[in-house]
Amino acid sequence: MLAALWDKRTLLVSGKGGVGKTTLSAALAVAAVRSGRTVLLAELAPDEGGPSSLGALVGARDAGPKVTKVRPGLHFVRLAASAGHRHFLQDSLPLRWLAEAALRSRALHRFLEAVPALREMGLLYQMLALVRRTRPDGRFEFPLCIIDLPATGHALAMAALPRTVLTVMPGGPIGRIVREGLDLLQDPARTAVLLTSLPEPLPVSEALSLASELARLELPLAAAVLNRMPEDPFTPESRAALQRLLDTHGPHRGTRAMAQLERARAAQARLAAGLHAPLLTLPEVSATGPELVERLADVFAPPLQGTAAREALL
Amino acid sequence: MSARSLHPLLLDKRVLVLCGAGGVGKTTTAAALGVAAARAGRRVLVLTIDPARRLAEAMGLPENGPEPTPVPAERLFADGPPGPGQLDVWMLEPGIVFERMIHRLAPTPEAARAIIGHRIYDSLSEMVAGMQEYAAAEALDDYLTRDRYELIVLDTPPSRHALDFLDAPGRLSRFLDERIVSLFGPEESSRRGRLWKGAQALVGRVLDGVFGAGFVGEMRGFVGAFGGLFAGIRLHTERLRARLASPDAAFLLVTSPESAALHEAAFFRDTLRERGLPFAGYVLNRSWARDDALASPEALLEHVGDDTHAEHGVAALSRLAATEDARAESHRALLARLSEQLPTGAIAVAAPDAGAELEEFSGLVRLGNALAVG
Repeated sequence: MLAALWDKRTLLVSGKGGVGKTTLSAALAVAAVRSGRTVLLAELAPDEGGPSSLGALVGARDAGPKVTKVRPGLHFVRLAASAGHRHFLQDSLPLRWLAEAALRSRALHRFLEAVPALREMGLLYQMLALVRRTRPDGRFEFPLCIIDLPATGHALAMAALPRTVLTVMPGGPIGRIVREGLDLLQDPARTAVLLTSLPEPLPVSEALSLASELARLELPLAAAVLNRMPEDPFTPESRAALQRLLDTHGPHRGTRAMAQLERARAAQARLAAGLHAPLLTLPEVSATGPELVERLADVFAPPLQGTAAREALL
Repeated sequence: MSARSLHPLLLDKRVLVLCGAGGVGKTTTAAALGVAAARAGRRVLVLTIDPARRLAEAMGLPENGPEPTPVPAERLFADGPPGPGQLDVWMLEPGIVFERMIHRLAPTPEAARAIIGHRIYDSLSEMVAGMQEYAAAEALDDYLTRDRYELIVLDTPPSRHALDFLDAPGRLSRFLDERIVSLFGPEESSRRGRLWKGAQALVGRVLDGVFGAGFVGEMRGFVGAFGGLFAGIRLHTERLRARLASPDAAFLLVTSPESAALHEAAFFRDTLRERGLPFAGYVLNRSWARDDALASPEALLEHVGDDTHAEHGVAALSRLAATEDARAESHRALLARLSEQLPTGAIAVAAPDAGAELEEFSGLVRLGNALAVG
């Protein structure tokens, strides 16, 4: 079902808060590494303080904006606007002394940090730099980058950047960077967006409106993942028979969970009908944290690649 | 007065601020509390940003009106005789609030028009972090000053952290930081002399290189026009802070029964204490902590007869009941832990999992009753 994902350069994992987006990002990365791919797992956190929940899920040491190796094939980074700003100033100012003057200016730093559009720009710049980073032999250092987008309504802010930035600062290097970034993000050959949701009415409504936002911004939605679908213990006949009993004898214990199950089924049907992309439903798993990541990674099992593929052929 | 009820807060306070991360049902809780307070006889305003549309429909509201909309008395008191209370709801539009503020603070109507007509003003929400939060704070301050309501329930804007609302004025003042303003401030020639001019020229070169020529000039024009308002904005922010720190206000954290809830709850309580703001307690939302005291599914077996489908159905319901019991148990444990870490006078209440019922006004009434009674 997710076969189309694995030959991309970047996977953007989006969704509202509390829907299991971060766990899904980690599980995709672990699955890709198991199949022999080299992966950069990136957290795009709006605030740079506080511990990284994504890093903790894969057992990464939180080294801020520096890429750290977690295990063979898996690298982790926490994208930071400040690192992007620094690279950007170095790359865009033609004269070295001018760049140094800019880097020393606290007022300029504060301005870049205080303006949301410029923060997003810094994050985008650092992301682009890492996606494009090559090894001495010319191949990409991180052929697959999996990016956990921020949970708030700003998940799409990066993609909406060009409009903002180009309105306010039409000329200059920022506009150019933003356009290049958008070229990558909108290219379905290189980028896939995954939408995450939960089988509840409100999260599904939010996922559907996020999907139409993605379409409006021309971002390639590749698939949606519905997390924590409760197990359905009924057959159609036994559900109907039980409903007749409950109608006669009133609610019993378990009817609350049953109502939740019915809501989940309706929400799943609504998401599947409203979405123009494949929908993968994941069961509710009792595990949490890194154990949950490993178990979800089993579900994805991408086709083997590289050394792993060769070993499998032997 | 039970220590586990929000009822006293609904009767005594002037402001209830509901904080919580996105997706925990904060807006619904705010609406339900507003309904309960109005039905208890108070004149109530619920201030909210960006609610779910179905909730707006349940309350019979237009989306983003320019003024608060009254909930009709026949809806508010649908199930009995009307009381003296009234409920207004305003889904505020940050743009409208901000524009009004500019008109109020600007020295002349021309000055206000110069700001609002500036090209950068259109992109202000992308330029300045926390505009939504700031607009909510500004609207709250405005209505408290006008004294039209006995209670204002503020649903803070959706955010990753419960405390973003409190940080917003700080973020705004960071944008208005004098160092940043000085980057784009009007060139003062006479007072500061040649050295200053040289520094500004250097800054201009760097900024032109970074942002492109033209932007710096526009920013200068905008900061020049906006600059006169900074003092007024700071004053409002400070006045509102003092009001929120008074015993007339109460902060509630709405949280969901997820594993991260405890950690977030403790952090919220400590941060409020550090800032001298009155912490009133927690609402554990969508919780199964309440015991409905229903019969067990096995009691249905005597009605099954020889219907194998019914037998299967009852067995399936038993499995669901086991899931339900386990979840209710964990929610009760979470509520107990929340109660343990409460300071004196604060409360932790569980809000029932109302599911799809909230699409109707009667669902809000029931949720409000459940919260007020405890």
